[in-house]
Amino acid sequence: MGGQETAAPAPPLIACPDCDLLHRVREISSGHTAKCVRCGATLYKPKADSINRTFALVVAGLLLYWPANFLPLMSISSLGETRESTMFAGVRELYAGGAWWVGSLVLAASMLVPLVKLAGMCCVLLPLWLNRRPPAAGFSYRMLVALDSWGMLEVYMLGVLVSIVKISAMAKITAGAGLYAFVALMLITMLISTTLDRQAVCERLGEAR
Amino acid sequence: MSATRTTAAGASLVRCPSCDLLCGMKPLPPGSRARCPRCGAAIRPRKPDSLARTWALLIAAAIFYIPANVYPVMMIESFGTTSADTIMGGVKELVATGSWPIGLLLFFASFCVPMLKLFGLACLLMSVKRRSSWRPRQRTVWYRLIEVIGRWSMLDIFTLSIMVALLKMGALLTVVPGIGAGAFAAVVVLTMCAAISFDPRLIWDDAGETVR
Repeated sequence: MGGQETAAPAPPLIACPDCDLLHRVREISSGHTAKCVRCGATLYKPKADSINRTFALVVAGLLLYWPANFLPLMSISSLGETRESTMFAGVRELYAGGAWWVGSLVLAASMLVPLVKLAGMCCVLLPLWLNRRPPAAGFSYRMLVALDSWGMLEVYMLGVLVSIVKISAMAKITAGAGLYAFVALMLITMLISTTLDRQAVCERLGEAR
Repeated sequence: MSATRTTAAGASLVRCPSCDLLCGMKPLPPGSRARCPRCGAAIRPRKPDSLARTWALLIAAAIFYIPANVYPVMMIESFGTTSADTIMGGVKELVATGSWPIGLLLFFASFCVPMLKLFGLACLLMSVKRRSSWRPRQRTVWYRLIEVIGRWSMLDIFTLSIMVALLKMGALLTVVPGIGAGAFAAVVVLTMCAAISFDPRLIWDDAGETVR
């Protein structure tokens, strides 16, 4: 592209993300963490069999995503009347109540971002798993990094707990099929962050180029 | 780890913010951008206009913080009576009905976390502006804490979204979102953006500490 210039890669050094101190990259075994000697930030953390394990989890997550979002999370009964609710119904009711901005935020943080992250990870990991070069890998990877703090399934889980406590004072509340799928989906997204070895994925992206 | 005696900036290197690759910087013609050769992200030695952007987002968040606490987050209409809950009102109610562990959790997520972010980031910004050399490691740890816990203040918003959908029993029981919810959601998003736009490396640039 015109006016853009790429910089040249440097020798095997790594800079601390939080204080910029340069460290020499050393091989460490998986399960250990390389930390910055000056500020204590994590520099890298090799994980065993990262691409296989993470890819398996991503596939499981993509399957669980749909029941978690569209099957009823909970149902309440009060005075003989029963009502079920899904994650998506919460967004719809916020829109209906005039709080479109709050609804959009909930839609993004609890439904769209987790899906885009799973799909993006699939785009990066599937070709690596098949030993191919991912199409638009740089873009997908950059998007994953940018969305990192905006997927909030575990916060939503806590929201489910708080609303159970709040509602149980008013009506009888029972868990639905969606809730089990949702808990599984949340655990999978948390596991992905423990199995995903960012450095290994980036190196593979570099090699494949 | 084996550290060198210099920072990336000191060695005229830049770390790609996305894939961590170290890139050598050479002078670029004006108007052009350096891109990471591995992932294509725009690379800069430090986050652009970090202090000004973080201040702007933080001030905007502080402004929204007032309506977020004054106006009700949700209105519960049950059996003909309407009760409006502000953020602190909801916490008080939970404590009063005996669910104090959940009340405490909500107090922490909706009051302590936003406060910590507003004051914590303001202190960090001021310390960088003053080129303070006071405990840079401690300040970096504070920054990481602010960045990690920020998302948990969404708790109140998610609770609202669940209750709005579930408590909809005709005329008997209805929950309507209040103005406070929109303002509170803005506080959460703005403080998260502020934390992301702050560059912790600035703490070290002016700390005056010689690299060991």
